[in-house]
Amino acid sequence: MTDLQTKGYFTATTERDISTGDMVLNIGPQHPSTHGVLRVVVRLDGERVVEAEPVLGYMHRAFEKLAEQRSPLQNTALFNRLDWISGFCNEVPYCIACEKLAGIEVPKRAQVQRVILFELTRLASHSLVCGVFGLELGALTAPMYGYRDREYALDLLEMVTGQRMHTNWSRIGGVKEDFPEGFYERVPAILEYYRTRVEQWLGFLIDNDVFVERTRGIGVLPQSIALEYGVSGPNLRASGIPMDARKEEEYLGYTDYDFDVPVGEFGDCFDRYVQRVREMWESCNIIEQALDDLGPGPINTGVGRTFKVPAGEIYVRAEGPRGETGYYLISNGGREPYRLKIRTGSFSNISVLPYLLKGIYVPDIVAILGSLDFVVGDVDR
Amino acid sequence: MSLEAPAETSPLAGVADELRAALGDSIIAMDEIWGHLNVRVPPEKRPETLAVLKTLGFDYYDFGCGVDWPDEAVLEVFDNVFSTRQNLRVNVKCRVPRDEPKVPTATTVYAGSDWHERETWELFGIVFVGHPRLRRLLLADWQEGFPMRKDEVLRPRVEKPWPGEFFEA
Repeated sequence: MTDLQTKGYFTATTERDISTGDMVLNIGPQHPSTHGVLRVVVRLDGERVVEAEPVLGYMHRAFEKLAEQRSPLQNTALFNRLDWISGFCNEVPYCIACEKLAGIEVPKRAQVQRVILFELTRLASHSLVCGVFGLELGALTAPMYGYRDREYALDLLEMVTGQRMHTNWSRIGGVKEDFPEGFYERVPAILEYYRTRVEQWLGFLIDNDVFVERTRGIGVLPQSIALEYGVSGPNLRASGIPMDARKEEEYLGYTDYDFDVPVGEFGDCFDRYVQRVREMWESCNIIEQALDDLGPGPINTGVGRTFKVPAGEIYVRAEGPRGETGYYLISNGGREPYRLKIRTGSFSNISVLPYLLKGIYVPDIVAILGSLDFVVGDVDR
Repeated sequence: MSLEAPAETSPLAGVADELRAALGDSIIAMDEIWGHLNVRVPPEKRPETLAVLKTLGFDYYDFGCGVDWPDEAVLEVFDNVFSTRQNLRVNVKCRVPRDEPKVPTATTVYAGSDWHERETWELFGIVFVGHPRLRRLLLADWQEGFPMRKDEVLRPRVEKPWPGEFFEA
């Protein structure tokens, strides 16, 4: 025995005696991987997460309260800002809810035009997210491709609506105006481009060993948890549940189109990425069929500005790129809704974060956040 | 809402029968609107009703929040559950008095109702008895009152009415 040992200097060297208290790490609200301002507070034991708590509300704009003061025309402009990456997908379900309550039959041509823009928005959203997910994991080229691909769909949106993101093009009883000249000629080439890009997206990251290592088996979302927390959209389908409002609900005539609902196998980050790429392919199929379906006819029923929503209540949902967007509308016969509950995909999708983040390593937090694909405006509303 | 049963041909008729068998007289009202079944129960029966629905295959907790009805001096809590296999939707509602809004939590049945109840609590002031962590979710700590109640007005809109009215008059 040395002197030091007898004096007790080394008594604390066994692992049991070293006290390593949990560390609390704050991620966000300003963090590149949070797509806005989500804050996650995690408690760490060494490199492992013991507990995680998302802190929301940095972008709470009280849309449900604001909607109670606004007419439908003003409301659609508001709901573009819910999930700004797919603005068009948020205004359509609200219009459908008002139309159903009022018993308005929307012309076929307007329905098909809505479908085309709906799916173009999905293409734009998914291609951006696929790229940004690469950025999360350190693949800095991927977001450049993502932003570039998105522009092709946004160009078409701008051509039709005049806006890239906040389209505000859907109206109660139809759409604002007809497709411009030259639109039909441009679409097939862009669809062809997206199809080749889907194949490249699949190869680009999936053949990348680093990407696969970082995502395979990480953040596995079991079916029972996903259902109980109301996870929807690509995140739910990646877990193997073929739930898709486009197949289940009668809206915009989606049931007439022939398309598949791809599902994942394991529900990990990797599957959620592949899920989005595969859905882009299906969106191309839908747009192609919708273009064939687009016959001549009126595009609007001419509902005036002073339109009042008849009394009643209704819930309408639609399959947006980030899961189900739904509006639970209670009307008392006035122009403004009496109460409007906005059900957004992102809110429910990230409510599983405390479950998913428990017990993983710190670098995987970012992979999971990226794979869930949320927009904070959609979470906080 | 009335006690009207859904039509025999409706796919929701079976669910309505099962609910009536399990809950008996507790069901205050029931009707079918736009393909959804609305069930109104007393507030203390909320977890039980949801538990029955869960055994009936309603595995998906979609959303829940509240509605303010100041004319009747009640606050309403609703929970929207969905059956992924049968593609059916049920909306469970319960009404609590506005001066003492208390309702038992549903987190014991659907873990996913956690955030929805926290949101309802801070926006409407409805207390969910038994909720593990009834903390603020969306609002900042310094905010007072319950913003989604009807007596909370949007101040800018009161001081300066919407100019759109000018053209419609």
